[in-house]
Amino acid sequence: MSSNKIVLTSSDGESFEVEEVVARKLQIVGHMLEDDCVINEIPLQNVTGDILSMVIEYCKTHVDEEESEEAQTKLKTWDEEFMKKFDIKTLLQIILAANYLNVKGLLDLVSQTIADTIKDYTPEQIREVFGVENDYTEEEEAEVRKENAWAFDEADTPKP
Amino acid sequence: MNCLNVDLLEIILARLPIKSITTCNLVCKEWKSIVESEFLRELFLSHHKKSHSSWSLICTESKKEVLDHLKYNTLRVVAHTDVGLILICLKSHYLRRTYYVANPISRQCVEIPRPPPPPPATRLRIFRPVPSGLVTKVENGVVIGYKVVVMNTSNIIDVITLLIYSSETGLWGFTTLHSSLLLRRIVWHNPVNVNGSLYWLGNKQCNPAIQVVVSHDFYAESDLCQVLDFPDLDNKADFKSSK
Repeated sequence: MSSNKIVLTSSDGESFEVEEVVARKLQIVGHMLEDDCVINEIPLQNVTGDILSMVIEYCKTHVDEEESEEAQTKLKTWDEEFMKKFDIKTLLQIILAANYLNVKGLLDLVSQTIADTIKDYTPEQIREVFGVENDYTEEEEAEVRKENAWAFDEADTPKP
Repeated sequence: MNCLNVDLLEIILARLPIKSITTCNLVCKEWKSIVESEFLRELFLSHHKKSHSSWSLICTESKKEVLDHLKYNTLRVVAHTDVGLILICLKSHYLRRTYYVANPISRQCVEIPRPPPPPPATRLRIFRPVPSGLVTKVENGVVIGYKVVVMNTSNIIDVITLLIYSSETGLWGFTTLHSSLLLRRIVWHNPVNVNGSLYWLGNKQCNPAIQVVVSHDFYAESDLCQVLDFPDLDNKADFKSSK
């Protein structure tokens, strides 16, 4: 493997020097390198330094993905521990970064973590976290609630 | 404004358990339209293929039938009869299944009690309490009774053990059937129902395995199963229920 170093620069001007194999885990970088192989500094406009450092940490750990079951289990445990560090707001930043930088494994991991985090949220909590306005009228909301009554209250399981 | 675009919302929402997905309907109109989209359903399917917590729409590849007018996405038709009664399964959420016998025309619906656990003394290695058959008793065009059938899924069969719920008694009971021929296997799901009998695909106990149809009349006194050969035995086609 090439040990060529690449410098990644975040939107807020923080620079990270990483090995090319690590940088290539960011597919956005991979594509740039294919287009022009002499780049060694890449500015990443849509991600801040603190988030980019997390993404790089993930990519470094996943740089050699071994097939063995043992290695897979170890990685999985690492993934779980890694995700535990973040609150929901940070997870949302990471998913945006994983999407922009195109890191498939991280995108899967973080989307599952977000799903696991919000699965017991109320609609109000979800709106707050995702910054969504409730655009239902009271009547409309009551109607939707009725349609989905079975999900909100076990005791209301319908007798169709 | 949403802090995530629709693509990202979709990949997150598809990973939620079904119960949470419906909670998302209440977030706002945009979320509701995402949740109800065909795309999300397909994505959900791809994530939940291997788990039991599936969304009914999703169920097995063989059947994707949903009662839209009832507005419960988790309803699935398990069995049909020739007189219009259907057996439906409502998965309220993780692993909780309730079965109903319903008449979609009159919109009548009767809940079937949960099947009892198999008795410890049975030789059954696997007995999934999953109703898969519905038979009816009809006199002068009027349905006067029905039975819901759960079949033993173990292989190598000399007796066939069934768990049957009868509308006449309102109870579940075990029944064993005997076959005139040794059978290697019976495909327990998707039997065909005609006139109070169920027809399953099966294999004879011989090599190479020959496919047969196994049937039983649930309103006859006999505890025998009929085994019918397919017409063209030289043709090694793999028959499947086309339902």
